Amino acid sequence: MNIMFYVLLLFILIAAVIAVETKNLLSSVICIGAIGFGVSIMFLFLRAPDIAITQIVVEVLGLIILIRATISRDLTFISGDKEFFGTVVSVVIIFMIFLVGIRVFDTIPEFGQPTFAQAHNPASETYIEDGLEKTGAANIIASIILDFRAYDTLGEATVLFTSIIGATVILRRKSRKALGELE
Amino acid sequence: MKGMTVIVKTISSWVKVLIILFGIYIILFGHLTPGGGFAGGVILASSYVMLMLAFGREFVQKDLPLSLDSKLDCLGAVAFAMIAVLGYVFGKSFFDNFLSQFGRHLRLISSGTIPLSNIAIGLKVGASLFLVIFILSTFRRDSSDDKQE
Amino acid sequence: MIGLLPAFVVIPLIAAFILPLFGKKGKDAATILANAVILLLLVLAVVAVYSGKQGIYEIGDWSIPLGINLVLDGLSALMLLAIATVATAAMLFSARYMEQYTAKAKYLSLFLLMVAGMNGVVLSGDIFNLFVFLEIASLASYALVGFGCGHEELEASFKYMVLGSVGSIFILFSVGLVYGHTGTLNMAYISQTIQNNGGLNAGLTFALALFIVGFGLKAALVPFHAWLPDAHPSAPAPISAMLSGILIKTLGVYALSRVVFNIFGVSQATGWLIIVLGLISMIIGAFLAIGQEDLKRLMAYSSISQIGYVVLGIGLGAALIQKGEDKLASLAILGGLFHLVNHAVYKSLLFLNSGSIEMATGTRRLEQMGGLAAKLPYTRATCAVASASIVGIPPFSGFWSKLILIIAAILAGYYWIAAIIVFVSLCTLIMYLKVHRYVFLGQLPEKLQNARENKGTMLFAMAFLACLCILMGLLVIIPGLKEAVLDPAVKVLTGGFEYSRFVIGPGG
Repeated sequence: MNIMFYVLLLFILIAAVIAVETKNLLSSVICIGAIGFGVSIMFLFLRAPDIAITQIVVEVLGLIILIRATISRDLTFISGDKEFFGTVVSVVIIFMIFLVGIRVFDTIPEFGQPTFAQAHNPASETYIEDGLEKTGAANIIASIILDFRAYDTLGEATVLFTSIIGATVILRRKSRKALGELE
Repeated sequence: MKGMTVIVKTISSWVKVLIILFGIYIILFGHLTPGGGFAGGVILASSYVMLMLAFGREFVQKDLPLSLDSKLDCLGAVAFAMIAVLGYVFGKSFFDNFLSQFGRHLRLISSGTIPLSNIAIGLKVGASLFLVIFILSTFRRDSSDDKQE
Repeated sequence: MIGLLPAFVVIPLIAAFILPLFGKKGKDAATILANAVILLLLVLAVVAVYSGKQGIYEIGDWSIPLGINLVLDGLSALMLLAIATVATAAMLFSARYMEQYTAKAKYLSLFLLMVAGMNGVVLSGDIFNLFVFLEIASLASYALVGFGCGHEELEASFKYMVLGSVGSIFILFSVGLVYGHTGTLNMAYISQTIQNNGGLNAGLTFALALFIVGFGLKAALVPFHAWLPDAHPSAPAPISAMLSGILIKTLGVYALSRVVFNIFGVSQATGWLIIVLGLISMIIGAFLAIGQEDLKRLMAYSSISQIGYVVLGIGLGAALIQKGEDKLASLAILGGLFHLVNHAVYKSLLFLNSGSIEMATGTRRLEQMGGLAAKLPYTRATCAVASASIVGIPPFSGFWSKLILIIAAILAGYYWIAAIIVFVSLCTLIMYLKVHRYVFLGQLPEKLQNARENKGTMLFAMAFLACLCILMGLLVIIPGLKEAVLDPAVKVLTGGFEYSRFVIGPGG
């Protein structure tokens, strides 16, 4: 199981690098799809079917839109040179974050260990033990996102609402009225 | 966009029903099994996206006009916020699950406001995702028209 | 009052959900509804500050850390008041100004979503919840920056979106790290866990660094400021006023100081890091502003410079708390927070002025204007008040906050910081003299002969803010007002870990 996990991780990383580096837009989009499906399998391994379902349906929908968008475009090849200075700076920054990351990963609990074990008064244990009694929902995820932390879900729904209104506003046909229309 | 071949049209008109049913199932049983409003809403939206790809935009427009779609979007959001306010009115505080002891555990009718919230979110997510895909596809046509002029 | 806390978020949210249903015909009704909602929020905020009540509200009747709580303390109340004030003026201004654009109902909806997001950030007592509402406010502002749909606007909006998303990802990653280390998302419990462990380990230090970068990006402090000079000028004028006036402060400065002071605890290093960020922002923002030829771009760079003052005051406070000089620290923080409120008022007034000028002349280029003093008398008068205030001429509000900052710096022995504050004030004087010289004085160009002053709500909004600019000095002069409005906010920051004891209660 652990080996599978690392294989998946490697697969996702390779797909991500190809998605950034390839010059063909269509193969880049397909690589993004591969990342998404890899992530959803990863969620299944981590025993999070709720997130896996959401991830997979969003991925399918997103992939359909992106492929539709790239196929009907003539221009599927990206051109342009990279700046040498920019590349050097980003490599240096990534290397520094990598060095810091190694130190940071030493401090977080080992993979598979519950991270909340060290907390003083962990909320997560109450969710698991008393979730059904307190909320009546058999699915603990539902009891967390729609009861214990429902306010967050209202926020998330609003994030979606905001982005949809934003998209309709940005993509509207006529944005300014002619000068004469103002009284 | 006039849609695809007869084979695709026939099959998608059959599959459409199954996808919509599956979406409704995922939404309604969100408090018992994995899934919920968000996942189910995306599935509902994807059934209409499939229809749009198979039959063309005009066909879907007749079935689910854009104005109705954006109204459903707002309605779902308002419904979810209203569930929160109802908790304030009938229960102890905002977002209080004032119905939580209603019904029996592990049955469809249980856990109070959670299934209601799932339905509201499902409506909202389904309508809004379809809306944004529809707008993105119509926008592309307009911009290509501009180029030809 | 505490029982009404969710209303600050839910009323604008529900109004924003309903507003898109008003089509073209219901435009006037939509405008009235949105204005009424914002006015109601202003009344609620005034009540929140006036009553002086503090407390927590547990959402869904779940005791923390099971559920999410809203926290009203002095700092939150001050920010709520600032948000509501600027939003009232900007909303009144929009009622007429936004007639130039289509889709007004959706504009109003996005505006209310932005306000709801900011109120949510200010009230939240949960670090993930803070992130969610920060995203709402940010997403609404990305869309509003591109509202004009022109080439320039869309480019600015895209740039803002990319950099803003980078900031959000930093914050989200940091929230994840904090949860991994402490096992709770509640800010008070995180703080308690950190105190019990006796300080930060490597992971939490990294999380703090990520928070500083993320909130620094939202606040447009200098190494992270690249998006602001494009985004703020491109937005419609009332939105520029909201963005420069309050959004960068709520999402950047407020969140940063909450995280640094109340959750992680101050240290000498973070204090000086924040001071240096503030000083660089002040100097570079001022230098870049002087050279600008675009009216709104000049004001945008001046915002970077002014946000530097706020951050400087707060950083100075952090460094002084660590040295044990609590009196001086509260003076520095008072200066910073007072400057935050002042800047919110006069910078939004300046952006509303720029909108009025742009609507009358159709241009933002300084060299194409001139001699507008006779044509736009009211705009000129309010602009003069705001400029005097931002430069720091007594008795206008900006003078007092800068004076407090200078006194704090001198008493603490940092003479060079006081010198830099005075120097940047001189640079500010130069840039606003330039604005007046090019816009209002000189020869009236031929094609601006029929420029007209804008009447009605636009004028009222500008006059409202101008009065505030003049009167805000009273906040520190009249003793009772200072104790009621500013001191509770200062105490929240100087109190540091008191926050967790206040939220959890003595039993926890």
